[in-house]
Amino acid sequence: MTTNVTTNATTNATLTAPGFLTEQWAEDVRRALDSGPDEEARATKLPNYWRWIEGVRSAYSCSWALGVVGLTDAPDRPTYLHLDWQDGQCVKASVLGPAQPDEVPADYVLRADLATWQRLLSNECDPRRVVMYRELRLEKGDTLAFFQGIYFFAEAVGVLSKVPVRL
Amino acid sequence: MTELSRETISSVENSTLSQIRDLDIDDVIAYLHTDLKKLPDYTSLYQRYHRQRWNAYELDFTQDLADWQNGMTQEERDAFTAVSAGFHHGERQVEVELPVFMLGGSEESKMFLASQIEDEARHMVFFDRFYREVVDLPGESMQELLDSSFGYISETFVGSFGLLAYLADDLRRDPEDPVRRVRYGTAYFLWIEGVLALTVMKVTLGFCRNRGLLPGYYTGFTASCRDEARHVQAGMRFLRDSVQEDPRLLLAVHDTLRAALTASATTSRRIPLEPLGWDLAGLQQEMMRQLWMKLSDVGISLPPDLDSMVSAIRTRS
Repeated sequence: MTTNVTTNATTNATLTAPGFLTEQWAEDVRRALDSGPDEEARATKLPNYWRWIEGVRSAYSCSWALGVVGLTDAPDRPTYLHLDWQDGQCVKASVLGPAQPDEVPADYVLRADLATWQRLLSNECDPRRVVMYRELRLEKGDTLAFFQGIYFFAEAVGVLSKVPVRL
Repeated sequence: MTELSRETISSVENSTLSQIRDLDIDDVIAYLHTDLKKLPDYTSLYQRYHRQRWNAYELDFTQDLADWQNGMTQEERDAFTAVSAGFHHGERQVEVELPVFMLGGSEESKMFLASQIEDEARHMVFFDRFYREVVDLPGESMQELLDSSFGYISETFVGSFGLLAYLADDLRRDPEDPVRRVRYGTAYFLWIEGVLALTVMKVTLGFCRNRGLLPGYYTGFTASCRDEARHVQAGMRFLRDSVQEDPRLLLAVHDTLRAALTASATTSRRIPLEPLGWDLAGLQQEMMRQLWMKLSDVGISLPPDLDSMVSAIRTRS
């Protein structure tokens, strides 16, 4: 998957890292999500906050399709990172290319433009801001149910954004 | 809630911007509730808007800057910056997310909502001026200044404003859909304006009044609170009318409240309330009190699980 990204100032984009929206990157994301935030990240937030997230995660069994709009290969058709959660474990990750049917097979389908993804993956923006400014739009799934686990989602986006990737 | 005398009601109702500084914030919040049981119609509220409209550029922050630099400790400044940041962003959110709600409803409600959008934009200007001229956060444009204060806001606001933003997107897909409108109205008018804003504004305004500090901030934010009275009354009217017309919509109120309460039930960092004379337990108790008052005034009941959720927060507090 190629993009029109020209940025070279990212902290986590290295020449050896897997490319954005490749199966290898998706698997790296899955492993990172399954492990959850590291101790350093956890120490910056209150234990009560992590307990709230653990309460959501412990029984979480939904799938997410996180879409990228505006890729050079298919500017009008999103490509998705598809993640499957079962009982709190991130058990499967894959990339759904632009040829997939309109009805994306996921409980929650969210999309953002490439510029937003670039900022996220370059750690240039707070994932909480992405939520509050609705930069990742919920295209499918019940909003109220989604918000019952909103910080679990926001922290997952934070973990995802730190996985090394070549943009 | 304190019963207000006719004289106090008249004073809150008719004060000019320069007179608002003499009002007690608790009286302004009590004034909001005096009309909640009968709920004025949209045209009356629109007429009241014209009588109560003020200009955010008329405020003078000269004394505020002196107070900020010389009359407050660093701990107080940090706490004030953090608590007010929720409003800096909140006014922006309720401004930009409101037009979609105006696509549906009666012509009278649309007329009133046009005034509310103008109110919210003015409140946004007020906080922009305060953070620029008094707190002195960096940022050339309004967005840059918002980005400077974003790091201070707690999940209570991020979750609630995010919920509103996503419900607004839902509503955009079908602006006349009653369930989407009631979900949106519950998040905006009941939760964010009626509970969150009215509770948290007491923290900074009470601090200013008790300490005799930041007169420009106190004036502008108390005037904003008086504006909120119109917004909450219109919003509660919308919810009451919707549920009376179709009692099944009560479910949408409950579902939305459940999501809002859940998303507001945690924060990632300690909210520094103590330097401003509050603690988290007191704040939560006041929020639940505000919620109960709104619900009972407009005759909305809660199912057992939500009732327990709210009671647990009150008891814990």
